[in-house]
Amino acid sequence: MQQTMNRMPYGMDFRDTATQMEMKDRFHAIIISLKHNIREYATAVTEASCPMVRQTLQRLLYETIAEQAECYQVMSRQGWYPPGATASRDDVMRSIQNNQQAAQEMAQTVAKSGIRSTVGTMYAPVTDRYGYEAVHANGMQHQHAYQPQGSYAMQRNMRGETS
Amino acid sequence: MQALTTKELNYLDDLLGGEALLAKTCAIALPTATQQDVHQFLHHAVAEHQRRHDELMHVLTSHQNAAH
Repeated sequence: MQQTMNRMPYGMDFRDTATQMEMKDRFHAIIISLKHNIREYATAVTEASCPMVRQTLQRLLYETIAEQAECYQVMSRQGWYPPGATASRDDVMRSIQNNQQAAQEMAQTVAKSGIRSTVGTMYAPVTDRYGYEAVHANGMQHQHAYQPQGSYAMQRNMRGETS
Repeated sequence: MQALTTKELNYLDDLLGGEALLAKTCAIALPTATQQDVHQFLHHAVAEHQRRHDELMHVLTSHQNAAH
């Protein structure tokens, strides 16, 4: 409400503000319905056994995702969609470290199966705010579980795979 | 043309309802939209949701004869 009042241009009366609030509520209902439809389409695609039905539903899913993005852009420009809380750098670092440990376990499990793991080729080593490579909870500096062999795309090319 | 499964039919029903609801919601909001981008979005959305509704109806009707 306060935000809308501050944005109210000169000459706009309370009836305009009420209309704006009403429109904001309508857009919230629209974006909720769009998100609901996206979930419905996604589930329906996975349940479709007829290829023609699946193809149609998949196309309508992508269209609905694009429309939801457009709706969000309109709402954002009007100030009707407050941005989400920003994650701190420490939170991001913690998440990366936790998932790197999981990635190492995954790489070890994959390596046992005889396949060379590709985990870690997509991102640079994690550094802290001073640019030093991150240290794991066990006190050891992070080591890649394998030697990187270039980009993921390059590895796929070497294996003769096409996207 | 293979027959629709019960699951597919149920999902199509739900999706048809969703598209109809969105078309109606946007159509009701359209006359009160004063800003251009809001009006443009709603205008486009009404047409799009009607078209998607039609496409889903087409899926239903084209499978009609395959049903036992």
